[in-house]
Amino acid sequence: MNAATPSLWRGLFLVLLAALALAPVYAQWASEPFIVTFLTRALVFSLAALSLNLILGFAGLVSFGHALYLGLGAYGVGLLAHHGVDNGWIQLLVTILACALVGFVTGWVSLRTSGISFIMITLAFAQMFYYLFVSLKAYGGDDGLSIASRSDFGLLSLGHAATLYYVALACVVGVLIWTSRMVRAPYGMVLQGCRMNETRMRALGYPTRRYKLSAYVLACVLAGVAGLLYANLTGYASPAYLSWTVSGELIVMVVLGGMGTVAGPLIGTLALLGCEEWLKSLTEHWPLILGPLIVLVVLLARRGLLGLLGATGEAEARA
Amino acid sequence: MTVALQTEGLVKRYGGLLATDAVSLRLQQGELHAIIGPNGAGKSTLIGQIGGDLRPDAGQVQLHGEDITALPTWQRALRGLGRSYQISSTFPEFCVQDCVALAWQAHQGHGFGSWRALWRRPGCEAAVLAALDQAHLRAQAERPVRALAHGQRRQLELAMVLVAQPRVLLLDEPMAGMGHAESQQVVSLLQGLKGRYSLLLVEHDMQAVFALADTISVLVNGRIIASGRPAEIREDPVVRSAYLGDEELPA
Repeated sequence: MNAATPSLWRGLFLVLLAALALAPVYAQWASEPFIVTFLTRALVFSLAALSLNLILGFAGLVSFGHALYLGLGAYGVGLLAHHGVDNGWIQLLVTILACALVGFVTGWVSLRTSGISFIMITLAFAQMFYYLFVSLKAYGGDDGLSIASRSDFGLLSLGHAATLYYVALACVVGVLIWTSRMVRAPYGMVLQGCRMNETRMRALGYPTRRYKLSAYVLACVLAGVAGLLYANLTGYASPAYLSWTVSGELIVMVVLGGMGTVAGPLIGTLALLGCEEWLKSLTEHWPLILGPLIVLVVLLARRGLLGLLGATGEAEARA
Repeated sequence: MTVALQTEGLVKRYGGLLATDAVSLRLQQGELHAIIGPNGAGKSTLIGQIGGDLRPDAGQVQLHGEDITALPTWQRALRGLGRSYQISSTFPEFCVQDCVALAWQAHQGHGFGSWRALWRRPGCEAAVLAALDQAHLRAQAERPVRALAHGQRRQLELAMVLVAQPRVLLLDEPMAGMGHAESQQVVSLLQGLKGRYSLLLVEHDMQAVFALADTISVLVNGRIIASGRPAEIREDPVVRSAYLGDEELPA
């Protein structure tokens, strides 16, 4: 691999971000508002996938219940709006606190296990909350809760499609920038060390469980923010957001794009949702095509699409 | 002389098997104390209990007079107990200097910093390169661990221990699987560490052990059957019959 390659990929990635930034302008010009709706959904899921990548990709914790926090964020908006609180800052604060609390407690329990038990226990917690929200008949139960008024952040109201879009984009870009620094900083190195060799990390003097728990809680909070945005996009909070299929989709997005890479989750999400839309327009049997495609990418490249393109981090480049 | 590391009546049982049978060891400050014994004697089990990966069923481990028996591995490491593993235990996706930098960072307070690169932290580069020099690994600094030869991985193990400047080193077969020339390098490295560090060495290479050790303890079936100067151990009839058999000891 020659030295120019990483900067070439960085350039292409910046072009992608620029295209995302200009998408609403194009949608306006072409009178295709659907584009903005679709891309907002893609960005919201990218944010959730980026947060999952923090624990799945970097720390090696396969959480199969990450949709729980997406759902908590959505219900944070839904329940508060239902009771007349549409102040976005309060909704954000409640979402962050709820996700941090639930993340801390479930993480503290789950991190006592590893491997398949960890997968199952995170799934179990998510299912618990799924049925909790199904049982809340006062808040729509199974049908979910429709949200009449969107989050109001003073200057910004997430009821406006373009505003919501740019807020989601800003969140994604912010997390991308932070992740790209974190990877080479002590925190990122410690998390990756825990994934590769936790025993050795302890022998070096690292309280590994503390680091993993901190990453877990952080990932939960970020997913909660994604949930808050998602509720504003759909105008709805539903138990379906917490379902295990959503958790599974998030894993697919991360794995497809490239686990433990900075940009992988964004690429994976765009690719998955984009393919889905495209195949839906061709045939109603689209899952029959999409499934094998995903299997193919995962089989061919250890680091997903980014790995396939040869655009992953430095470790590969040095080898 | 002060005692750097001490165990008092350590016992570890695996079902009916007594893997560690009332082991009391004493590592003096600045000495190199070697533990030898046939395969299955319980050397790794013993090291595991001292390092903290294994919990003893009874007995005590003391580091510089402090009882550390109940402390988790990472707290023992922060108190100055550095440990290398028999089977190279590093970070395969990192490059050499990243592994050593990570080992260095553990002793620099918390590692939650997530903006400035680890490598750019003040003192990191100098400390890492010094440790790589000590372990004769400087030339490989930027190579991925995956690409290292077996002997180089053993050297990396040592560099990761040395960069933390531990007070006591637990070395579990640092020369395992090394060629003669590489072993010689490690022997001279350990020779240089004696006096400055207190070293507890588990090793199969008898030549190296008798050349390096100030004290040798012989572990058989989880029990220490003899402990003393190399010359005493060499002459000890119990050791000869129980462990060394008809094997010729290096002069």
